[in-house]
Amino acid sequence: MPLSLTLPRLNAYMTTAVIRAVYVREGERVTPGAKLLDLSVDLSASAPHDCPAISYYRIASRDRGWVRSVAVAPGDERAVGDELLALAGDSSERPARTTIAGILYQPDWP
Amino acid sequence: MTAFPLRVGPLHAPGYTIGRSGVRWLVDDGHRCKPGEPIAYCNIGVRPSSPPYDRVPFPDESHDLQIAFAPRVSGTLRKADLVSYGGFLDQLTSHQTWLPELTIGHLEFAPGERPPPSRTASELRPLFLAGRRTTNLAEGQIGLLAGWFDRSRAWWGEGDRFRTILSVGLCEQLGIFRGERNAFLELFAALPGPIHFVFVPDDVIVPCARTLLEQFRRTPAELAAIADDLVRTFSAGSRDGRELLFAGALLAALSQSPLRDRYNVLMRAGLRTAGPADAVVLSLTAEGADVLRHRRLGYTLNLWEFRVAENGPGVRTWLDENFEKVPVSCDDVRRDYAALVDAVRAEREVEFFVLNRMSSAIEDDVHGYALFERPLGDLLASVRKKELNLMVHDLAREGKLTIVDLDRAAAKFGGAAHLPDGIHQTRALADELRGEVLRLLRKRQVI
Repeated sequence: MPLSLTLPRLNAYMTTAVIRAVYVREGERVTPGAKLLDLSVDLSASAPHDCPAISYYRIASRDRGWVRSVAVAPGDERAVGDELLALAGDSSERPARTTIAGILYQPDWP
Repeated sequence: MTAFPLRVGPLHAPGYTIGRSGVRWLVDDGHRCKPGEPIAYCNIGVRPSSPPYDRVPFPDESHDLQIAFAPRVSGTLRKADLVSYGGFLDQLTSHQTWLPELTIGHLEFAPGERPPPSRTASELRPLFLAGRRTTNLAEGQIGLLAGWFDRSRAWWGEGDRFRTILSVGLCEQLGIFRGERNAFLELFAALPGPIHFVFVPDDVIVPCARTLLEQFRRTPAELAAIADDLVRTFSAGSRDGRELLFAGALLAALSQSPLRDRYNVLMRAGLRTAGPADAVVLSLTAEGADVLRHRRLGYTLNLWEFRVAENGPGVRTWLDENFEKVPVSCDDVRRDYAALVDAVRAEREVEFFVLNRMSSAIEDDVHGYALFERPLGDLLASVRKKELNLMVHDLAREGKLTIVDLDRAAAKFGGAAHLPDGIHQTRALADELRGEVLRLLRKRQVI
């Protein structure tokens, strides 16, 4: 069954996320553990903050399946609830599943 | 009802004249005062009473030297008239001469309460506060320790011998040490004995063990080379003023070593010196997954990315062209901590304390680690934090340091509500951690 993967609310203060990496393309086969996206959440995007807490996350596939569509590219900023990509899982009984985890801080410099 | 005077008491500094601003109040008239609770403050100036007039005892802090007053007994405050002038006269450091008999108010006692018989009980306890401005442009005498300081500190002005506790802090230490009013008041309310707290923020350099060790060991020649490089870079071409300020603040930070700092302190009995620190409180949060290393000069920078982004494109260009990113493993952090502790202890006895990390992953929904690349500690933030916490546990067992268990406190209070971004706490959690820091300082016989 297909899954429309939308940007989850990872923190009560979060409003948007920036896509840092997209690891899959439309039509690509995925297996459990396949990297799908990396994103960053800057809490100062919702409220000015002298010391913004910026967190990074990875979304990975938990199932076998196919990437039906990819709605984002690196650098895109998306709001909570926006579609990021669509997955079709091999199972006909439940939607494809993903998992999200905080990953190490990745400043893009130098 | 008995009225008990609240006198500011004497300050001795032979060879100097002490002036003060008007008195500013921290509490309202009618406030029920507790012993040791600061209720008012003023700015003070310590000036030579004869030539040469440039021998000031607080050369880096002379603009921001303050004294707060705390009654020794409980009672209801009645403020005196004409001690506060309001406006700028409450900010000028030497508008008035310091007079020991100045009475800033009275305490009233409830029926059945008796005023203490001793005259000295009416002398307010002096709590001194001092801030070292990052730049003398950063004037901010609008409140207690208000302003942009690269070091702030406070001490009780009574007693002969006291210990110095240095917080080399990220934001997570700000609430613990400087507290709600940003002036160490909660700490001193909890500690009646002589003690000196110093807070060095992470405005420019994020104080990881490696940068602290380099600051501790940096030679004048190495500093001169760094200064030369910074000056040549930032004096060339068309520069944004923010970039120059950043470069100046960075150079000032690289020139200092918080672990070597000595301090002048004004006590009731006169001017004294204190430090270097007897105890140092570090943050494991400062230990990121990588640092920057200058390709030619070899020194380390650990910076907040947002600070770089906010301070002009030239800073970023300088970093891109002159620095390389160096990964920092958990083992590297362990080596850095051990090297720092050993280097400092080779010179003097110092107790080290480290706030560990909140290792709970609020946002993760990980069902199995098999989905992620190994080693997990190089990818997953929650695993890295757990590994770091275990690493400092090993160092604690070796006697290198004492853990301030932020992880436990966050679990007790609830990380999502009290530490929502992993660094910035609620007041309740800061209070809990302050209590834990004080308990550990007592346990290690620092205080």
